[in-house]
Amino acid sequence: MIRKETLLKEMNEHRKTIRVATWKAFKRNKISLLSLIVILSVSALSTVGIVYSPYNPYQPNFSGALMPPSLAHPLGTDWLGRDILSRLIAGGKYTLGLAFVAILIGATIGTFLGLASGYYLGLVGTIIQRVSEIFLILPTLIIAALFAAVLGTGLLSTLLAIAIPTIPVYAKLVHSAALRVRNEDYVEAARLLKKSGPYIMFNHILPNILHVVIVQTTYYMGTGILTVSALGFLGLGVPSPTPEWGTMVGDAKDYIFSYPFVVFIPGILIAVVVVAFNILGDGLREALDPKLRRLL
Amino acid sequence: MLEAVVNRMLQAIITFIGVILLVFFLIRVLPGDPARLIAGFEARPEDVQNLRHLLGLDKPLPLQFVDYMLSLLKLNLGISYKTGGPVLNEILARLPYTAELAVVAEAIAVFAGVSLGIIAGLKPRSFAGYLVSIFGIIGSSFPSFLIALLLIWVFAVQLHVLPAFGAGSIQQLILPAITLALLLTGNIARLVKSSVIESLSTNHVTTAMAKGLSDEKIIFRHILRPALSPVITIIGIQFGSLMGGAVITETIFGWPGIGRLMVDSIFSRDFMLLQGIIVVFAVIFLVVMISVEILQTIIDPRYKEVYKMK
Amino acid sequence: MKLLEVEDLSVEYHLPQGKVKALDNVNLTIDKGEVVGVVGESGSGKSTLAHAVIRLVKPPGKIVEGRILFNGKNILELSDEEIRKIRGKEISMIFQDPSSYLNPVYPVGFQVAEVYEAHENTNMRKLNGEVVSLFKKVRITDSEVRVGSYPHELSGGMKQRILIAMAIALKPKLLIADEPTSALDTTIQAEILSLLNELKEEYSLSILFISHDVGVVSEIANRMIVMYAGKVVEEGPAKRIVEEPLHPYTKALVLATKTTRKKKLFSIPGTPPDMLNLPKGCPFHPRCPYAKDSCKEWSYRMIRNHEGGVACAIYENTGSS
Repeated sequence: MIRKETLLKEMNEHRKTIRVATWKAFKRNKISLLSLIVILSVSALSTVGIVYSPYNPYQPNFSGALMPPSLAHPLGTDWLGRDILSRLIAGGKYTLGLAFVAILIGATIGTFLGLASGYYLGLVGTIIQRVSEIFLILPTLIIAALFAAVLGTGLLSTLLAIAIPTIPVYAKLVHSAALRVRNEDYVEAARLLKKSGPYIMFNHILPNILHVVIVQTTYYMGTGILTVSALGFLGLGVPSPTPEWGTMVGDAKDYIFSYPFVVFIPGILIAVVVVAFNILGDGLREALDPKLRRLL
Repeated sequence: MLEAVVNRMLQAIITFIGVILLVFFLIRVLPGDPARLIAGFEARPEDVQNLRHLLGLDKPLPLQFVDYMLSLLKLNLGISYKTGGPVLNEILARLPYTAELAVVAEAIAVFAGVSLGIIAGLKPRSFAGYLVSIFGIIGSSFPSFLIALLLIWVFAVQLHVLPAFGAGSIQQLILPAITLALLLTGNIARLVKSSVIESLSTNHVTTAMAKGLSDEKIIFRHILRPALSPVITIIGIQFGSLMGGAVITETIFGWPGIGRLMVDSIFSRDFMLLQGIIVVFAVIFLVVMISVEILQTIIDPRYKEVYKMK
Repeated sequence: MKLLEVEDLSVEYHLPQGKVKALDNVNLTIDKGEVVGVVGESGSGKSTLAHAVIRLVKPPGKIVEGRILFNGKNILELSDEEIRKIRGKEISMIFQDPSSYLNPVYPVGFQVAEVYEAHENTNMRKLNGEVVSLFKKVRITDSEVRVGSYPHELSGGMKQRILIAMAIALKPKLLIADEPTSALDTTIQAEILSLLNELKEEYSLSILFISHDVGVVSEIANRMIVMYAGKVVEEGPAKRIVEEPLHPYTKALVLATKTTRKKKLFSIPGTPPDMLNLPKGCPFHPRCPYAKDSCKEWSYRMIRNHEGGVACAIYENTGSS
């Protein structure tokens, strides 16, 4: 028994060393660190936006419409005189929040299915893989639009329109990652010890492929935000007057000839956040890659 | 080889049937009476009933699916709920526009991406190297509507050199094509860059140098040609995002292609048309995928081995 | 008559972890028609030497010092175009792993024809006959068919024959063979060696033959050079080195080869040196059974006589051997 405890202790020590090394490798990359800061601050503002924004994001004020940025309205006002900054702060919970929840749901289900199909190779695995392929053949936006069409516009349908196409992406990714580790000694050992399938899946396979999932999720947050805002832009997502950022761009696009800032401010914000997620993804991938870490 | 191709086709057909199943049942689950939509809200109930019978909408779902599959074999995609005309005709009328846009955009992207990637691959720390990163970020992270609107703002609003809207002339093609190309260029450039770097360090390039081949021949024959096959793969993969991007781009630029037709069909709840469009998309994607695989075997003889192994 | 003279050649690799001196003041000569073998463990710099002779050292490697005289001309001072004209025509090279040194996407005949194209401006289409007869020369069976094969369709020995065909196509004066048999089975090894021996006679080729295997080198080389950690530690007639090695490292190498032949594994004690942190003094002293304390202070010096030399402290007090 003592041996087992020492082993466990050693394993925890080892994991801790890896965590420290990963953080060190990540910290070295200043641009990814900056991206993390951008993401955290935008997320913090969006969280604040659930309860507070400087102005009412919905209340029109026709006398103050289309004002360029000023002290009172740092990002100006739109064609109804609504404060753009307030709308962005209030809209974060839609754009970021929806993408986050949808990806979380899709990633969880997809990871579970991928683990199952990677561990039980038989018929179950084949079915999961075949169904995934059907989804993967069509571009994300087109599947999302299809779901939006069927379910109508709104929060829940946008959520599903993004979550459902995410499932097969993760199922496929986790499946192939699981295939790579399923024949490793520690999995074999657990199997000889007659551990149950789910136990092996979650305790032996998942921890060893988790880095793949984490990196993918960081990238996919970017994709999710792009899809939420594209649906919003097309009028198939969260409907106006909700200040979802893509919806804001879509509603404002006719003002491009006269008041371009109304269009570009939310548009550029989306780009900045997605760029941050993608750079963060690159940084995490490098920091988490065991092969690259060995070189450090 | 032939057996492998036939096998691949069969796989593709199964996937294709899967896509139709998915779209078909998804659309049928939703509330709403297509017959009522087509007949109009003023129509008498018995007319609606007749129409429903005529369209086969009163049959059980599995039977409707079989009917749809059978009519697909006759290239019949059904009747548009909105116009009452054949869905296929509406799609065929719009398809050339999307094809034109897609081909021009892909051509621009391949040309720009490959040349940029080569220069950056040969000199990673040059200006071209940074351009590759910038295009990569734009392509992977910028919403396509933002790219489109920025281009409109610069070239139509500020410089007045290109029209912001419409289709028919070359000038009107430029901005939407560049928008789509910008989504793809970075990806191609990044890939070409890394495969040039990889190919530079391969041993057969050392052999080519040891033979006394000229630099041009080494670059074109021994570095670029092996670096080319991933480009073909990525063109196949990108075709999906090209079509996704086309939905947004066509809507913004008023380009009368199949992407905009899709958005219109959603708004008018013309689900027969929507279903037809997705079926056509699926056919295009599968054809592109298989063509890419066949092209690969021609360019890189090693792929033949892969086929043999399968 | 000297064909190749390498004088004080030094090559450095600038790695993120530090600077590695892959070649440290190496001297070497090859006469016309002579076969010189270079032996050493991996990392000894022998392969870098092979590449340096036709200026194919790749970054981060850099030739920092020395001269390479080929027919009296310093190769290191030639323009890119001048060196290109020498490569493949006057000096050619064959490599260790024939699979990776052939381009997978072209038929092998085409790749051989490229040598003619590079130097004689011949139209590729007219070359088929010459390539076929070249294939026959290196004893490739069914040569008419084989010219159209792709590398992945051929065996390792066959691929090495194709690289050899490429190398001898223009009857060069010097052939650099970088471990040409190491990746092959023993029987194929012998075939390739006898082929090289034959070609040497027929074309009066000079060969710089690189290998980690003293036995293989002794079958083809007239003279032998032993390298350790970027330096030449022993030099002399091949026969003498195999029969009476002087340097402790050479002794170990010879012993290793003999025992390996008897299917007993024997490797030189200790690990090859860390090129980033070479031991002080004689780099071999941590592994040397004859090492004395003074070896840690020893500075490199080659004791020469008319037919070779050795760089070891043991022989310094007694003069040359």
